[in-house]
Amino acid sequence: MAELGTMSLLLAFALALYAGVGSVVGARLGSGDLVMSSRRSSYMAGLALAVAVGALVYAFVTHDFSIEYVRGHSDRAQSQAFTWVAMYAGNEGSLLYITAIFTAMSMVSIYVSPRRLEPSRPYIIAVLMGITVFFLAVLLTLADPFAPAAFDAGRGMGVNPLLRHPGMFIHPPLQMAGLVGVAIPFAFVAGAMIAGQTRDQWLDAARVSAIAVWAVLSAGVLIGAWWAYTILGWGGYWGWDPIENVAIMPWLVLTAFIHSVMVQKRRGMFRMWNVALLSMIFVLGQFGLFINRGGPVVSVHSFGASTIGSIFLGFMLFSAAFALVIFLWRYPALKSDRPLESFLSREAGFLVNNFLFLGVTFVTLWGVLFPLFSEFANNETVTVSAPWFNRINGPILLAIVILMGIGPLLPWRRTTMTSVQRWLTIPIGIGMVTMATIWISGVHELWAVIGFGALSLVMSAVLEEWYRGTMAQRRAGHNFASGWWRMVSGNRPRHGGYIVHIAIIALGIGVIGTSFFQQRADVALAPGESFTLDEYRVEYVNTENEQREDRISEWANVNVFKGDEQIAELAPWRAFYPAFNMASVRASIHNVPLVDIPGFPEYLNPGLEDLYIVPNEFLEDGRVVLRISINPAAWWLWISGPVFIIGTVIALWPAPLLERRTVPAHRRIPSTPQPAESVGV
Amino acid sequence: MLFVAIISLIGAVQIQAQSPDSSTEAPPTVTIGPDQDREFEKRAQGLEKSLICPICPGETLDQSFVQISQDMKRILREKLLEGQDEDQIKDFFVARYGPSVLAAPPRTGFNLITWIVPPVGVAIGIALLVIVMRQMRRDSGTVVAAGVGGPIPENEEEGGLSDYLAEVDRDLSLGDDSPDHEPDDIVGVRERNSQD
Repeated sequence: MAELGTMSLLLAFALALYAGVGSVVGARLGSGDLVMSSRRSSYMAGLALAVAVGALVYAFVTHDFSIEYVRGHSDRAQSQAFTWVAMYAGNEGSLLYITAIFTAMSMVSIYVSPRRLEPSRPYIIAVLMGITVFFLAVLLTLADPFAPAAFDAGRGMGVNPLLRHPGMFIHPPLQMAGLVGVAIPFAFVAGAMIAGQTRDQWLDAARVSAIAVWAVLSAGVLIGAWWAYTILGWGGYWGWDPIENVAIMPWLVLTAFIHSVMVQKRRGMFRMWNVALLSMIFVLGQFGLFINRGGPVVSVHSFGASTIGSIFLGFMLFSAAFALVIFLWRYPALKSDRPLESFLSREAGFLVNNFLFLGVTFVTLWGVLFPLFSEFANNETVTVSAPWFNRINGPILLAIVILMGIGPLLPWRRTTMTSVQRWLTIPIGIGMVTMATIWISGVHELWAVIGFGALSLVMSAVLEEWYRGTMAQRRAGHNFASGWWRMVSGNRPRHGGYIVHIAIIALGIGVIGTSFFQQRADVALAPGESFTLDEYRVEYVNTENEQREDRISEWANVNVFKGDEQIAELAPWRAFYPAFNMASVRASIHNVPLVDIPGFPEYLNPGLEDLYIVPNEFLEDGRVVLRISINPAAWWLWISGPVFIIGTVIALWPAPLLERRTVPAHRRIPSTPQPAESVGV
Repeated sequence: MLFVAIISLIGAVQIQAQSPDSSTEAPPTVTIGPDQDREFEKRAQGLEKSLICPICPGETLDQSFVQISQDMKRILREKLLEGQDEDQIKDFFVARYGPSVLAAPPRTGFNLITWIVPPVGVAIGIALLVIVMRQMRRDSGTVVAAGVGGPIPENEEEGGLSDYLAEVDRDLSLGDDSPDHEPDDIVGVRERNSQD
């Protein structure tokens, strides 16, 4: 298998190199045949990489410990299911995965790229294949996943205990695909710029691929947060650590882009700005790869210490230079079609949105880099961690939420104060009433109250618009449900966007609830003893354990009472893995529903709060040290995920790439002088 | 008095948690107890969140269960009980483990830069934003009046809109046919449509 894998990698390298060089040469010489053969060879590179991945997975599943990487990241004792995904548990394998998934995404992008991008396609292929060639070169020289083991011991090290979690099947593949996928929209725009298609030819391709990658990244980040919540055992889900930060930065700028690209789509403005945003996203993605590959530890001290780290740093700098050169070269051709007409317009709203998202990105980048800077300039090691990020980013995020309520209500081009007032009175009123109600009900956390007020502002703005739109459909003879659906299908990008905004509201509820109102206690209990936290009494019954080849696991049986009624039996779990000298815990989480809908599974009932129990330690005298916490509104964090996906799917559904080709010209001219500007995003 | 008694249990808790063999006392160990000490525990947990475990980079004390952070949790509670305030306790740990033990850099000396750069950056950003927006507006006089805006990007949504959706939009009155608008708005729309 090792031979097959290595050969596939070599083959992929040759094919990708040929595809990249051949398409540029073919385009320059005007040789359609050469371009076509290059294009096909890029598909073949993808297939060769699929074979390489297959070879590595096969080696894992069959326990081929003669391959060093397999020996280092699996053993016979681990459950068979995890051997299928163990291939991306380490540096070499994850790099192979990244390369393969990137090439697969490239294949799809090249295949579906719209015909109007025909002149740019060779250059798009060249950019995509250039990145692939870089990855393959690293794989073949510095990080060979198929390198032989020094000796075949017949057994392996096993996979890191923290990775033995169902999240392992989804989080790393999505996260890595998202981080590397940000190069796809960039490749579209870079290719178009090189070919001189500097108008809006690249716009739909870049927009659709950006939203798709954005959705993948969002899902990756959310599932990662859920993983941290259930397995890391401290009751949190986001810690602003460097790896998380580098994953969120491209996401933030992508979010800015998928908003501002609408201004270009609708109004022919911000073209230059959108090219700049895509370049930034691409470089930030490379930055993420560099931080991830720079060293195995999340320590800022080991930045770029290993060879592979410095190579990724070099590639990042090269990418930045490449993007900058292209931008400066085509700068004069990227002027806006028309000016900004008013500060009170959706265009201006999007500008402010972009400014705020870039603000969060800049703050986050500064927080990641400052420890390095401090060490270099001041010779002092400092930590920049969660309290700093919360303090600085919190207010900007709040401003984004408020803008999310106001921005969508502004019409394109311009409006008047009276019209704005008419639209905003209800949402702002509801926001104020919400804040007053929460304050009066005894919650005096100022920032949380403002946050909830802002969230209710957003929600009521969306509902106000949906209500009016649905009522209009009702007058046309539809009932509520079909009226709503007709309104949504009339402008899917816009209403899909609103659904994503609703997901953000759910996320916001969860973030505010868990950050401001968490209660926690670390307690040691003997069998039969109980502890009361808020209204919950937690009774420790006994401990059971089980010994396996690779681990010793123990779990505490715990009864939870609310008042006199028993609401749950939980079994927080902990296992020790001798091979790693490492323990791993699994939190027991009981979602206490806000309203108990009978017949629904527990996790589907809208959550009031999570009762969250983790065993820290099983003491020799039979007692157990439990961390018990109440995490208000945690359920809302996780429900936001599916809502995100639904919104994104709706926004992307009628693939504009396909539709555009078939829209007959006459249909583009509105039959009535309708208010075209009001169609919106 | 009761308050102090309850609080002093907390120290015991943490010790017991780490050294099982020394635990002969029966009472369950608590870090949050009845209402009286909740305020105290809130302070203690706040401190836990602002201090980093010295041997596990990036993890704050409340996230970490290794021996050294358990010790630090116990020590900070003892010091809070002695009446020290948060700053004194942080100083104590900085003296012991160096400035990197703080989860956020102190707002003094060189480290002040961490705190100043973001607000200054945002302020500069706002200034730039205003300048850019003014610039973009100033262009308006020339371009719109001359009517030399480039070709309008075709929009399939506009083209594909059926009449009832147009009605929805009028009803939503996000736009230009509402009486609030100045007349030249309508001219603008016509201009656009003709360009289409």
